[in-house]
Amino acid sequence: MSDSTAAAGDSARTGGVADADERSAVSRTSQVVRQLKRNSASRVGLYVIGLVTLVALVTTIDADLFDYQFAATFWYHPENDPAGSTILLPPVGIENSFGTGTWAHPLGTDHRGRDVLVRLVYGTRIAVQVGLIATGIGMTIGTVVGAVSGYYGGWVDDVLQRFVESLYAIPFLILVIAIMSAFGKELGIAIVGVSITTIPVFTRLIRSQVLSVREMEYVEAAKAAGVRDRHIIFRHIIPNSFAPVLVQSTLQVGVNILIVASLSFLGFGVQPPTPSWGQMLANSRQYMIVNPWFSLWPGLAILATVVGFNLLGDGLRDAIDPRSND
Amino acid sequence: MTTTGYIGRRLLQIVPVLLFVVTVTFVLINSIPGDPVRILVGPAADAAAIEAARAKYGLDQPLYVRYVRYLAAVATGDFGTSIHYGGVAVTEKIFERLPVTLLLLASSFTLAIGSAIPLGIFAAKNRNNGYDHLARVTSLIGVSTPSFWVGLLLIIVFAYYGDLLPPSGLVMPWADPASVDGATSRLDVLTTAASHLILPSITLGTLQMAAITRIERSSMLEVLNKDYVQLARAYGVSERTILRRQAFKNAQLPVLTVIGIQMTTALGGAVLTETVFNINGMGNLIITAVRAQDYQLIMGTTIFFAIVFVLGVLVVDVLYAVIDPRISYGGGSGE
Amino acid sequence: MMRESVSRRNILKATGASIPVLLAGCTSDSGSETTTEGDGGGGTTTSGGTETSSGSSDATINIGQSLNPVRFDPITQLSNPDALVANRVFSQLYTYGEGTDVVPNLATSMPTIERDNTRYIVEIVDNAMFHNGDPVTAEDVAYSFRAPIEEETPLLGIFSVIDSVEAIDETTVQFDLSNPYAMFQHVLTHQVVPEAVREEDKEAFSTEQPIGSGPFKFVEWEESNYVTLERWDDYWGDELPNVAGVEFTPITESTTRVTNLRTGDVDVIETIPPRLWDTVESTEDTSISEVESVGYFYVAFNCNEGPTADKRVREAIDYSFSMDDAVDRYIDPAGLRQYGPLPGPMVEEWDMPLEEWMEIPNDKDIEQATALFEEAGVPADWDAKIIVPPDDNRENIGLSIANGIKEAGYEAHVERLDWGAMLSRAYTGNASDYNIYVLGWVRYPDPDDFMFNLFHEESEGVNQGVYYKNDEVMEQIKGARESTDRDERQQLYQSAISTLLEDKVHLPAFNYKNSYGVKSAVSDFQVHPVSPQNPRLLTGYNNVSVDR
Repeated sequence: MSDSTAAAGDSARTGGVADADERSAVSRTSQVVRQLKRNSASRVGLYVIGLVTLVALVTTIDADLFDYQFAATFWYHPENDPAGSTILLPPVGIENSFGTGTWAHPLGTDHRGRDVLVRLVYGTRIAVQVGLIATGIGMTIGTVVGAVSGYYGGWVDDVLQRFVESLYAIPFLILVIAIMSAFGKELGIAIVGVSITTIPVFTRLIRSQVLSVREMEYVEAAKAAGVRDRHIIFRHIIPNSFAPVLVQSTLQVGVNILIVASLSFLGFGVQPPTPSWGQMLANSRQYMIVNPWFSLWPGLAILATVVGFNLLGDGLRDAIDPRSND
Repeated sequence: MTTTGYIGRRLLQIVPVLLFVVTVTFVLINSIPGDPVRILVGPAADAAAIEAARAKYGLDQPLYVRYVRYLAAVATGDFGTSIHYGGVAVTEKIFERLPVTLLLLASSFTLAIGSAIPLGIFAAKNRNNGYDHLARVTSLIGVSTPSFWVGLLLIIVFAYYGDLLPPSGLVMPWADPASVDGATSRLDVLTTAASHLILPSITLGTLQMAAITRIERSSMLEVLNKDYVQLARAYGVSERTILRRQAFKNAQLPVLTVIGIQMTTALGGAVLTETVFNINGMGNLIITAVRAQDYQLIMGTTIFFAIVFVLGVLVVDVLYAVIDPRISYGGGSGE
Repeated sequence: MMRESVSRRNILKATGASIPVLLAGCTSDSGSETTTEGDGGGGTTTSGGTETSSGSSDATINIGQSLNPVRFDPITQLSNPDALVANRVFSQLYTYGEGTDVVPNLATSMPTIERDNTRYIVEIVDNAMFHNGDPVTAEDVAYSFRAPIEEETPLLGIFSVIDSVEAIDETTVQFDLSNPYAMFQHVLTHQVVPEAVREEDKEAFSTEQPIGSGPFKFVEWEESNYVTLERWDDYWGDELPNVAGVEFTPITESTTRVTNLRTGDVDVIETIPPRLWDTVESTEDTSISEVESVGYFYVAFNCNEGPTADKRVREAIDYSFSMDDAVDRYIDPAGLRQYGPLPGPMVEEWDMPLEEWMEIPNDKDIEQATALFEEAGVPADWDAKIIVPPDDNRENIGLSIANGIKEAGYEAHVERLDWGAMLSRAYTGNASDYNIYVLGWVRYPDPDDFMFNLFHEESEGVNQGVYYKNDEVMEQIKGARESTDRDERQQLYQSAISTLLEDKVHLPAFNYKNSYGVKSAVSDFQVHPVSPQNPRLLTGYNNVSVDR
C-alpha cells in the first residue's frame, strides 16, 4: 500500500507517505462513488435525502429569513391560526364528525385548524437541522477523541474511554431532557444535547479503527521518521479510518432525527407554535378517537426521511466493503 | 496484563465513572429552573409554608452542602426519599417499578430476537431473491420508524377502533387474581397479562427486531462467503449442515454485540413505550421525576441505570475477550 | 347497621371533607388497568331502618381518575386526585350542601361566633367514630386544625389565622382567630383525623392506613394502579352507602379514560376533555354529569416590567384576539366563558354586575391593536413571552394570544413549562421570565380566596405575578377580607373587581365544568361544583348505587 520505508524527516510531508495515502484515498473514493451509483437502493436514498434537504433548506430560509412569507402568501402559515377554518378535518374525501376533507387541506387540519401538510413540510426544517448539525458536531468531536484515545493508548485511553462511557451511562434521553430542562427548550440546546449523545458512537468507532491502523507499517515508519503525533493522527490515521465513520454519520443522522422526534414527542423540543413532527404526534394523541389521520402523517414523514438516510448509509457501507452484502 | 487484572482495573474504574455520572446529573438537575417544593406545595401557597417545606427536605442548604451530603448518603446506600411520592424511599420506588419494565423489556426482546434471528438467517439463505428483499425492506422500515408512532397506530387500530386489545397498562402475570378485573384464576390473569403485553412489546421490539435482523443477515452472509465454508461446499457438504454447523455459530458474535447495544439503548425506547401505553415502569418513573424535579428520585434512578450500564459494559467486554482471544489486553490498549 | 339520630339535627351528611384544593400541581403519571369488580349482581336492598335505599348492595363502583393520587393525609396538602379518595375516607367538620353553602357534618350546627368575629365555637356530634372504633372527640378536631400549623405543612397559609384551637369539653371546640376572617367558615370544612393514630406513624397514616370517620374504609393502595375502599358498616351517619366499595384507577391519558368508560372497564370517569365530549355523550349507555366548577382561569399580565406594564399594551392585546372565539373553539363544551375573577355560581350569590363585566373585553380589532401598540411605543422587534403550564387548554389560549400579537405585527412565542418551572417563573415579575402567563385558581368558594391571592400585593411572588399597584384596590381587598359584613364585602369586591377589569390586569378567560362520564348502570350520581367534593357517593341528598 505504500512505499513508506524510504521516507525521512520532513520529506514525509511531501511525496512518500502522504502521496501514497492520497493516491489510495482518491482511487478508493471513486470506487465508492461508482458502487453507489450502481446500487439502486442507495440512489433512492440519495434522492430522498436530496429532496428532504432541499425542503429543509427552503423552509429554513423562508422561516428564519423571511418570516414565513412564502408559506403565508402562497400557501398557509404554518404557525398562525387561520381565520375561520375547521379544526381536525380529515384528509381529502374522507368524512368525520368535523366535516369532510377538501383539497384545500389535502391531509386535513390539526386541532387549531392549521393545514397539516404545510406544517409537515415546515417540520422538516427542525428535523434536518438538528439531525445534520448534531451529527456533524458529534462526529467531529467524537472522531478526535476516539483517534487520540486509540492512538496513545495507555492511561489516556483509559481516561477518555471511561469519560465517554460515563456519557453513555446516563440514559441519553434523560440526559438531553435534563439539559433542555436546565438550559431552555430551544433548538440550539437540543442540538447540543443530541451532539453530546452522538459523541460516544463515533469515539468507539474511530478508536477501534485506529487500533488496527496504528499497527500498520506506514504509521510505524512515520513515527520512526519523527513525524509529529498530531500530524500522524490527522493526516494518516483519521483519513484511513474514515470510511466506517462516513457510513456511521449517514446512519447517525437518521438516528438523531428519531431522537429529536422522540424528544419533541415528550415535550422537549421546539415550543409551539413552531411545527415539528414529534410535537405534532404528541398533539395528535388526544384526538386519536375523533381524528386518527392526524396521527398518521407526521410519523410517515419521519419514517420517509430516516429511510432515506438509512438507504444511503447502507449503500455507502456496501460500496466501501462489498463483502457484507453481495 | 491478565484478564483478571483487567477486570480488577475496570471494576476500580467504575467508581470515578459513577462519581462523574452523579456529579453531572446533580449539577444538571439543580440547574433546572423551578422549585420542587413549589410544585409540592402547589400554585396556591404561603411563603412560610414554602420555606418550611424547603427546610424539611433540606433544600435550603447551599448546593455544595447538598452535594456532599448526598454523596455521603449514597455511599451508605441511602438514596433518599421522593418528594413527589410523599416521602417514599427512592429505592423502594425503584424496586416497585423495576419488575414492570423488566417484564416489558424481556417480552419485547424475546419477540425481537425470536423473530429476528430466523428472519435474518432466512434472508441470508435466500440472498437477493424476493424473500430477501422483503426481509430487508421490512427491517429497513423497522429501524427507521419512530417507536412511539408505531405504538399510537397500534392503539388506534387494535384498541380504539378494533376494540381487540387494551390501550394501556400492564398486568403482571404473577398478580393476585382478585386484584385483576374479571379474573378468577391464574389462567385468566395470564391471559389478561398477555393481552396487555402484546402491543407495547411490538412497539418496543420493532426497532430491536429490525436491527437484529439486519446484523444477523449481514453477519451470516459474511460467514457464508468465508473460505472454510466454500471449502465445505466444494466437499459436497449440504447447505443445511453448513448453515447449522459452521456458519451459524461463527456469525453470532457481531449479532451478540448488536443485541448488547440494543439492550443499552432499550431504556430510551422503554420510556417512550411506557409513555404511550401509560405503563408504570422505570421509564415512566424517570420522566415523572424529571418533570416534578424530584431531586432524590432523579438521582437515584440515574445512578441505578449508570450502575447497570457500566456493569453491563464490563461484562460484555470481558465476554468478548473470553470468546475471541485475539483481542489483547496487553500494552497500552484498552480492549 | 343503621344509626338513628333523633336528638341531632343532622341536616346533611356528606361522604367526606372539602379541602383547599389545587387543580394544578400534579404531574401526570400513568395508570394501569387492574380493577376489581364486585362479585355478582345484587340490587339495593334496604335492611330495616329509615328512609330510602340506604343499604347493602354487593357492587363496587369503579372510578377512573384523571390524575394520580400520591398521599392521603389531610394534614398535608391534598391535591385534587388525593382529595377524590381522601374525602371518602375522612369526614369534614363542615361540608358543602348541594351548592357552595357550608353545612354541618361532624358539627351539629353552624358555629357560634363571639368576640367580634374572632371566636368560633363548634359543637360536634357525640356518636361519631373512627374506623378503628375510637370515638371522634373534640380533641381530635382541635388536633386536626392545629397540626397543619405546627407541622408547617403547605396548609399553613390558610390556617395561620388561627391563634389557638382548643377542646373545651368532649364535644366542643373553640377557635380563636388573630383577626376577623370572613372566609373562616370555609376553613372549617377541613377534615378530622384521629390524633392517636396519626401521631404514632404519620408516614403510614398517609400512605398505608389513613384512618378516618367517613363512610368508606381504606383498604389498599398500589401507587399508579389503584386505590380500593370498602363500605364501613359502622358508619355513624344516618345512612350507609349503597355501594359496597370504591375502586379508583388513575388513567391519565384522556383518550384511554374515555375508552375504558365505553368498554365498561370503569363505571365513572373524571374530567372529559373538550373534543371527547361528543364521543362520551353519543355512546349508548353513558352520559355526562356536569356542573360549573368553582374556578377561574385567566390570562395575567406582567404589570411590573416590560411592555405589558403599560395599560395601552394590555388593551392592545385584548384587541388583537377574541377570547370568546378561543374559549368557544378550545374549551367548550368542557368549560365556559368567564368574564370576571369569580365563577358563575358565586357571581349570582354575590350579586355581581355580570352584564357590566361582559362589556369590558374588546372585540377583535387588529387595527386598534396595532395603533395602541405603536402609541405605547412597543419596540418593533418585541417578542412577547407567554408562559403556560402543561395543560392543553391553557396552551391553546396562549397560542390564540400569540397568534393575535403576530397579526398585529409583532413576534410572540408560547412556552409550555412543567409545573416546577412555571410556578417559579410566573411570579417573579421579571419581563425576562414572562410578559403574559395563563393560569387558574380553584379553591374555596369565597371571593377572598380569589381576590387576595391573585391581586393583593402581599401575594406578589407567592401566588401572583401581576404586581399591579393601586392602593385603593389593595385596601378594598384587605378590608373585605377582614370584614364579616356581607354587604360591605360585596361593595368592596364589586368596586375592586371593576377597577381591575377596566385596567386589564387580567383577561378573564374561562372556567371548567366538573365533568364526569357516567354509565347508565350508575344511579343518583351528581357532580358538585367544589371539585374535591366529588365523587359524592353519599350525602344527605344522594346515595349512589350501581346496578350490575
